[in-house]
Amino acid sequence: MASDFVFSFSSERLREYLDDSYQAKYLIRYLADLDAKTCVLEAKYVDKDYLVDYQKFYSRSFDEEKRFTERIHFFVEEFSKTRFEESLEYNDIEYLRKSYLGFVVIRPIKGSDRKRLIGRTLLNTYSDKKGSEKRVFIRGNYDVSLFGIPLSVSSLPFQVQDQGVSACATIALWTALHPLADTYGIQRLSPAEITELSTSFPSEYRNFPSSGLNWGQMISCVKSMELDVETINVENIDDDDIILTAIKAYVKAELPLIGALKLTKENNPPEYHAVTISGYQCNNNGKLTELYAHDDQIGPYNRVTPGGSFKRWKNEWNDRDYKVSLEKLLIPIYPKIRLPFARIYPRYLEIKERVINDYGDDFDFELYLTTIRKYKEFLLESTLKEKRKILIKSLPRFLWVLRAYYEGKPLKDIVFDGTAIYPKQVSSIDFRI
Amino acid sequence: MADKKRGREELALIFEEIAKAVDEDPNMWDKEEEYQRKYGTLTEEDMRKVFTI
Repeated sequence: MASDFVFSFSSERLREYLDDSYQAKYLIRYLADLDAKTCVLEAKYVDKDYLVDYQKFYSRSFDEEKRFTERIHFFVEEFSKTRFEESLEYNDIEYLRKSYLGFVVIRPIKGSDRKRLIGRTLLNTYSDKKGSEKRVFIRGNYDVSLFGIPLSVSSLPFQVQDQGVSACATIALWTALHPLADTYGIQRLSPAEITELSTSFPSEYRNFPSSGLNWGQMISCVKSMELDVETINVENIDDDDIILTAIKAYVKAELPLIGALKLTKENNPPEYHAVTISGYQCNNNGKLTELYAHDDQIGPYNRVTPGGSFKRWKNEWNDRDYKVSLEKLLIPIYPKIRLPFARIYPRYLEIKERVINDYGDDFDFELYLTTIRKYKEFLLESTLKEKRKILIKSLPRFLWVLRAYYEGKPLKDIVFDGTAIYPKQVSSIDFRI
Repeated sequence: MADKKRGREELALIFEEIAKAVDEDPNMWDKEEEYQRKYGTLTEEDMRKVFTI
């Protein structure tokens, strides 16, 4: 172990380990925003994702690539190496648990920019509130062990593509599928395994080194994991309501959306890039003001603001002279979620329009997907008309809920069967205040 | 503006009646199919689009 394995957070010091790739610089800025003060280095860390990629690809290279990674943990609390070592000796760990921000794995290999590659990264999200605005993130709780100290981080995993075994689409799938492992009992695959599974659907490009996946290969990968896919084509839309409604509906269901982006640069043909949408920020009226995306070419929870609408994205790609437009959304879902978004969305629009036209704009509306378990837990905590009768009533496992708010307070839910092919109302619920 | 004299219960009832009317409207069923075709399907060309960056 290096003698200085505990050190104060500083960009100069971190660059010694993270290097100065675009993503490393983003991570340093992100960690500064999270108020990181102290770093602890694990100099020899076995990262399962990297080890599987190593076994599938690097172990058969002539170059002697290393098998172990480095992992750096980040804390808000300021402490010295002496204090940390005493904490280990006397099991004085509460301050570490309370101030933990997460970790970054550094792969022992370099990318096309000849900078070290950022591996599996789990970092806390931004805070859930920004003034009067609310943020909603897709995240799960991950247990972490640092020299025996049990830590926990609430996040969605991120890593950078390693062109030996993956491209952006592989990483977008890797991130999007991660939270579904616990929910639907699917296996967590490494990037190389995802590329391998995806390329069982043939294309004219090489599998390894990976030069990218096509949409068909991505769908094939998801389906071969016994899941299904929902696709939403937003290439030719007039306004961005369908994008915003879909993002809110699926993020609330904790289902990440893969966004297909078209990147255009003057005098160059368009290029295509895949990212995972990992959260959003909205104002008091529920209007989206910011999106968050895990973009393997930028970083986790990358802030996206609208370029007029959320059809055009404003983020760090603009600094590289690219214009970004969202063309499609792909959502890996459980096969029993049979009612597609594109069939329930016009129903939501029609009801919303008729209510507003006839009764004014004191109403707000929300459409979201949920499970019976989560929905009934929510109802249990709410004040409802005929509450006992509603809670006892049998409902399908998946539900689409159309909620009307009146003067900012929930008025009524119309509940649709998410396991049906066509919109079928199964319940309606009145809220009391 | 909604009629301030209307109570929440009455507004909830109106909302339910509108949802029922939409549910029984055959034009709505056509619209749902149209949206599914327009926004919920991919073409052969879409399937071959490669994400390279």
